[in-house]
Amino acid sequence: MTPTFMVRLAWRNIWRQKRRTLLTASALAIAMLLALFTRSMQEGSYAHNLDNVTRFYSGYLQLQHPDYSENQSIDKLLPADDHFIERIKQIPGVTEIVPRIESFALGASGDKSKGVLVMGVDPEKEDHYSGLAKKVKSGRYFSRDDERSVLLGSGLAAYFGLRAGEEIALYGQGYHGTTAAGLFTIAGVVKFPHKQIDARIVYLPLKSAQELYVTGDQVTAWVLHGRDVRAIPQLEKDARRVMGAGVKVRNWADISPELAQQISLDRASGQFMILVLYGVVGFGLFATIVMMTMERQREFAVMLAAGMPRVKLQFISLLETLFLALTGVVMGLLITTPILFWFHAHPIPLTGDIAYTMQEMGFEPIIPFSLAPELFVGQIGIILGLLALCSLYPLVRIGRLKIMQAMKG
Amino acid sequence: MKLKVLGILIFLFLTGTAALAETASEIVRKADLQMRGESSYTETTMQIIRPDWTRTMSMKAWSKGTDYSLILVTAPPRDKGSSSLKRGKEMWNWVPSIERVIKIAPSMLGQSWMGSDFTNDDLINQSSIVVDYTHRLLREEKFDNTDCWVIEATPKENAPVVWGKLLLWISQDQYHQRKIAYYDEFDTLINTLNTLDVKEIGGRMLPTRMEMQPADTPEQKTVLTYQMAAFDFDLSTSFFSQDNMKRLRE
Repeated sequence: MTPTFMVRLAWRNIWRQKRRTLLTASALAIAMLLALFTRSMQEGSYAHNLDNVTRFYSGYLQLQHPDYSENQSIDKLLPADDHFIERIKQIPGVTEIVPRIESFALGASGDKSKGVLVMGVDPEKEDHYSGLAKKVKSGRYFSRDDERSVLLGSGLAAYFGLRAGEEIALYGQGYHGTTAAGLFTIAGVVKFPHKQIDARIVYLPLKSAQELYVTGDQVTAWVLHGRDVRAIPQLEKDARRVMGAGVKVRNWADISPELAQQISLDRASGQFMILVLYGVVGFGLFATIVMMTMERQREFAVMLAAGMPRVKLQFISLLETLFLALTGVVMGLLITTPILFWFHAHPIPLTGDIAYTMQEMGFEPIIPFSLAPELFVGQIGIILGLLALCSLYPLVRIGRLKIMQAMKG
Repeated sequence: MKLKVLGILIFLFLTGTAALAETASEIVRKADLQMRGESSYTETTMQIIRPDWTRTMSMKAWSKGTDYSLILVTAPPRDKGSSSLKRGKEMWNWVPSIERVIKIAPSMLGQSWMGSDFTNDDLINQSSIVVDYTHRLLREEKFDNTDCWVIEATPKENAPVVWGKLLLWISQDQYHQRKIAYYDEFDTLINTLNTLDVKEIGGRMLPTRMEMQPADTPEQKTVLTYQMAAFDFDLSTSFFSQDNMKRLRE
């Protein structure tokens, strides 16, 4: 018996029960559709939201002084001169390079004072990067990069009872133990959906922040962005290689661990649902295979009695299981791929409260879909795993088949 | 002869118990009084030492009782005229470069004073050790060749303090605070203050050098050295006003 013949035999065997085979394969295909749909939506949203949300704070990557992350000391800075920027530009795949000074200060007005988070930003670059100007709810955005004015989070402005045009004092510790003290006019009030940020943030033009903290031409971080979220690991590796040991490269998950945690929790819950789904479908596949084995006990016995080696018979049954699963996979891909491509090109628009919240956060209110090949590979992998498990049954069964008993039925 | 020995022993025993009878709180109060008197004036320099830079500041400080204190920075020029005032439970900083008085909220007591290893609480709110804590005598121990009581101070409920616990080494002969170990609420050592160079200053024997050493960064510390001191002179409480805080320049 040649292998080609065995393949043909196996293929014809599964179509002896056309309806059953089609039903089983369809179950697999639909499980695959649901699983891929969910995962594609999840990964698409993560990538989309991550791209948005990291722009306001962590970026994809940040370059920092090796000791800065320890206690965010204003003494641990990186240069901001052209030579250093040229070095950053050597990192392949970097699309945006944004300087920031991030530190703490005491904000004071009248007899009220409160610890605030100071963010010194290059007005033009920052607006291009994060769209900060669009966050201004009253007043105006920075017009020069050295003006002595600030943007206040709306929660913070409410705490002090301050409005655009009024003054706020910032007081803290500057570079190398100097006193950082400055009086600033409030140019505008910015609103962030994140309450804790909104109640603490003060934006300053970069030059004014450098002056306040007496840092000279230095920054606490260089924020880097790349083409898309999936390019981050490579970008990180390249950044480390180009910048060398004197610069620490930190990715968004390291800088915002709570965000990374949120995503992995959400991802895990989605994956769990999918596993449950595959569990159910797996039993369906198993039931079909058990039937295919049990109903052919006599047939197997006759073939064995006629001199067919058991291994060959086992091989044929293995091929049958494989064809069954592959039929499911092919059907699944045929329905799923066009649907995912369609949604990838036409993301689901959101409406109502969710859309409003997302717009507030600066996101486009859509559910985008990911077409990452690893998603497809993952699902096919799971189905092949199910198949491997299910195919054990006929293998063992044929291996133990007692010819005489089976012939008698 | 035997009687004499016995007499000495009894004498030693009596004096010993007399000393022990002094409560821990009494010792702490005396030590605080020793350092600051009913009123005090000091001139000090503060050296902030970091691995890659150091910075020196000069200060003048006044205090009266446990409720009033005022610290004025006289050098370097950039910070000259900056001052910190405490009246009762309230504290303020005067920042001349922006001409603003900034109130120090209780939540900021634990933050660094002018970039040093001393906190606002350590410098402006010194007397808090007497009023805001309960004290317990733990043991006796030598520090810098001097016999000391080791006293544990735990904050009273609702007291506006930053530390979870303090250990104080107070010398038995002079009631000097020779060492203070500062712990957070999780019982982790945060800072250690050592006081050294006991000599006569302002008519008293006092440690004239204080070194604040953060526990987690051994290569950095802040050294406070006393240049001049005067005690128990007449000083009106009206001296400790916001107006005066702004007016003092030299």
